[in-house]
Amino acid sequence: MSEMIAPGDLAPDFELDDVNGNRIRLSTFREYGTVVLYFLRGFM
Amino acid sequence: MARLRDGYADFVSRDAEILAVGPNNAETFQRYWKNEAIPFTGLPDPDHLVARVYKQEVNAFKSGRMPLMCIIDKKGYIRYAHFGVSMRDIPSNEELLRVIDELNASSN
Amino acid sequence: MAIGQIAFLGSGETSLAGGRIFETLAKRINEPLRIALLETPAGFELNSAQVVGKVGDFMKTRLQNYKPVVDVIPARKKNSAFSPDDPEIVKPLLHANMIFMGPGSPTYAIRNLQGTLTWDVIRARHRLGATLIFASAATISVGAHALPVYEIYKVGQDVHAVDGLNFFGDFGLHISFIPHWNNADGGVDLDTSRCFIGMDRFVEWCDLVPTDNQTIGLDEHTGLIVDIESGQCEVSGVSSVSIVRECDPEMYPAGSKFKLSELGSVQLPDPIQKDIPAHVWEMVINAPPLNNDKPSDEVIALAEKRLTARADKNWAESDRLRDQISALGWTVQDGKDGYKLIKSL
Repeated sequence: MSEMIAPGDLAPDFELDDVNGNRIRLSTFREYGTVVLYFLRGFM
Repeated sequence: MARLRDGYADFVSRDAEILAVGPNNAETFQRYWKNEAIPFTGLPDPDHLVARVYKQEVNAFKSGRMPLMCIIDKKGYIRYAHFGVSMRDIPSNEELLRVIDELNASSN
Repeated sequence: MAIGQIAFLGSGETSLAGGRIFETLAKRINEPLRIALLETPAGFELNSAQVVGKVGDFMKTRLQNYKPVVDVIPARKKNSAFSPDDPEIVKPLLHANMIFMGPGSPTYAIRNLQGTLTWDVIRARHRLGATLIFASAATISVGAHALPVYEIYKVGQDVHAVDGLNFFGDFGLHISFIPHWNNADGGVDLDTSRCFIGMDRFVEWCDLVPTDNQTIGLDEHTGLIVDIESGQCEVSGVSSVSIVRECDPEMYPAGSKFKLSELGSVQLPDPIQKDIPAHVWEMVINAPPLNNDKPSDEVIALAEKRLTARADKNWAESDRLRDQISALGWTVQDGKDGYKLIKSL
């Protein structure tokens, strides 16, 4: 069982392509401002 | 998701952005994003790479799929994390915006 | 009527940088938003409509609160069936208050816009207040001197410069633009900054253009909004905008503002239509008023939904949708083969 992510932790950086094909890196997007990171569990 | 979409302007006006990561593949994601007219960033993660990095239980298929909502400040620290106990258990926009307002206030 | 705003995007037209800039600009437009997207820079591609259609879809979604009408302008190639000189092709530009041009080949865009009706109409509309947005390839095209990116780094031609559309020449300024200024796709092994050609080749290019040219380097996910009349430039996005010139180079981070006068002595065209062919100016100011005679995508979508509801004999839904359409200012008339949308009075 893995430890949960908790407030105070450094958010792990990642890179993914978005739905429009743009390469998105979390650390770049932090520069825009506060990030609300939402882990969906799949579409209903 | 509709709630976040409809309230997106409230996040943008507070200098916040929404990144949504999901286990579906790019095609499914694109279709959903287009049909629902979602204005914020959608990130298909079909190989669960990011989910794993965030220590999400990847075999949640058995126990159901639980959403996670984090708020990350400009320095990269997680300042809020909500683990949903059901698929629909995500914080209200009000709660998220309140946290963001507090972060904005304390950084000024 | 004030001269329109102009924005430049280093990249990210379908991402946050674009989203932020589009929203900032849409807020400043005090009339129903009508967006026109030029196919020209990608006009040589078989799917040029889709290339720019992607941006159109993004803008429609991102700016959904403004309920924009979006037109794609298939001004693909001079002397073809989709000519930038064809008044029919140009028509939607006459009423657009936000005009976008972006991905494709910078030199192809120059070749197919230089001296055309499309380009003249864009400039004229801007004088009359339309907002112009140039992204990626198009930022190179509209400068005084263009960097032939693909020719150099894909085809292997020697570094050279070609004349750009020189948008700011009409305003007394001598400036060129380079997007993807801080690109780092090549990693540590390959310098892909300065729009993929690397710093060494960029310096070579600089040596080829006149010394009084100033180059504006646009970082990725970053944009610049220029208000010619107020003389204000603001940097939006995550990184910075660099001004490269012989003396006193400068870098402006996102959130900062600087004066346009830094780039030279701004001259507002006097009269306002100076350097625009008279017949084009006439065409633009005499364009018949729209009366919003075209139903928005939203109205059409509702009408389509209603057509399906009626086919399913779902009368309650059909009535509900009719009311929704009516609320948006349109009346739907049912006919044998479908429906007709009439603007309500």
